[in-house]
Amino acid sequence: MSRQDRLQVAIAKAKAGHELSARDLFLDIVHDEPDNKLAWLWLVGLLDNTDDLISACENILRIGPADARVQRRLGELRRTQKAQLESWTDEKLREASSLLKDGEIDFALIRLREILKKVPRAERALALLAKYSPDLNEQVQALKDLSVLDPQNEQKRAVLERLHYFKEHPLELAALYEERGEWDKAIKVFDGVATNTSGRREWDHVMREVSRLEYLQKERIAYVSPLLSIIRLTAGPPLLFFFLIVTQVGYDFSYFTLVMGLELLAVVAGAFLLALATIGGEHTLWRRLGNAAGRATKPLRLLVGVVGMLIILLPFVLLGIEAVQRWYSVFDYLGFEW
Amino acid sequence: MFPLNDTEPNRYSDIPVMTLLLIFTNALIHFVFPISERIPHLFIATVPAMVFARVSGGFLTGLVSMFLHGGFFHLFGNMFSLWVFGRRVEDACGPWRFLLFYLLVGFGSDLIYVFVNARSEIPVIGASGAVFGVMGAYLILYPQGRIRTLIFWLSFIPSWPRLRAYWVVLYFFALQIIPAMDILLNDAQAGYRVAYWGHLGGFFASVAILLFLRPEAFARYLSDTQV
Repeated sequence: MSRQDRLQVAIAKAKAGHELSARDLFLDIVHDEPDNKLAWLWLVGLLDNTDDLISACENILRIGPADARVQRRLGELRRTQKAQLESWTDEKLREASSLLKDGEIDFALIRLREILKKVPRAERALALLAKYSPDLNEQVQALKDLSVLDPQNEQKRAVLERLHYFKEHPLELAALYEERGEWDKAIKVFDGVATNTSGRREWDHVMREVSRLEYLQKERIAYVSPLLSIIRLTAGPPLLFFFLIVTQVGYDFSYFTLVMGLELLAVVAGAFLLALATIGGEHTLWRRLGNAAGRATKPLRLLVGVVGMLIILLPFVLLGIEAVQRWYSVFDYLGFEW
Repeated sequence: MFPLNDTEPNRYSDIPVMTLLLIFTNALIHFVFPISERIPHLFIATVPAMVFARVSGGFLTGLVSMFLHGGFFHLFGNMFSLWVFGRRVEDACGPWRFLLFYLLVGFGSDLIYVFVNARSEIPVIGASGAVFGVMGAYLILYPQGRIRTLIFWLSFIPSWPRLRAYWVVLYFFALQIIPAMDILLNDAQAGYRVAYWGHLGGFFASVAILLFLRPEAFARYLSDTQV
């Protein structure tokens, strides 16, 4: 069958109402003759998928760009496609959000990836992926895409910096997950680190951490937030100092001085810093001291710990000096002659 | 009944550095700087009436009292108990927090003793208040712990069973109750040579142990598993 005959047969089939076989024939024709405008025009009438229709219209305009009717049709189709895509994206996002709410994170992530495959710049999907993906590389990529969409956003840039930090310091990421009580995630990170360790010593350390976390899981140890730990550890030294003050004022708080009050406050502040250095969790203080991810590095912890300890010690020393100065009063009290 | 040792191992650290250091310091002070007639306790130790009158060295007298002992057996009893009960309490806290806790229960014990015996002119010395605080902390953290305890049945037949910690600690707690009540109700401190209210004070203050635990030990405590 010649090319012309094939076209005639296809047109006849289309006119006779045999749309499917006509469509297949036209598709064969445009496959062999991509510049056959008539075949493309017939296909516009026979195709039902918006994407295929758009492709057909684009081909017609490629062959004859001046066709106003096809241009109009293409415009309509693109609007329809956009509306369909938006509605599909919204529906998938709704599904993903509801799955996240139910804790089905893996299934939600599948939906989100599906959205991004079709709409690579779906901002909400990128934000959710950056937040919930367990894969650091995927998080970083999502945030990079988000930053491209909104380059002025400082918050996103800070989060991106933070993720880069975790990419370079995966043990810190594991520590972060542990602080949040997400032990499964922490173990996964440690497992990842174990495969890339440089030496036996590092491997041993990682494995010890994994086994410790597995024990915690097995023994169903309760999660205690770093905030509670900081508050708890902050309370001890001021309580001790309060006991000293009670002894010092002889149980009579009319002798409680402003200096004692300031000393007590200093002990609270020092104990807070010491607790913060002990827990080492996430805190704005670490960010202000220069860590992009707001994490406590060993030198920063040491620095804050030492400062905290000095701030605690000072009031104890001052109270001690006051105590030594009045110690001689015992001789007068007992009527002791020098 | 005499506790000999805690039969269970440490979880976090191998050597109870601070417990050993406290025992060493107490022993050193006792043997190297013995209390002589020239420096009587009255001048350097806690005397309740003086605390209320705000004379002598304020909290420093409390600190000094905590490290003074009246004789070898006084020192030995306190330090042995500190070793038995302190090892694992320190393990749950870490050395520095344990030191703070030890001082806190020591001062807590002093506060209660002085408050109850406000008019007493008798100096009080010894680490027993702090040691009772450590025992109280042990009871809170390891009630099911096993303590090898020397018991003389009918006062002369020895045995050394492993007893649950709560039996041992509560036994010592119970021993304080009757004399402590006698002192409180009949103002009878002069009749006793032991600071029972100091011991009870240490016990009461020991609830503060929860403020000094390592984060993991605290999480374990909340989870009702072995700290």
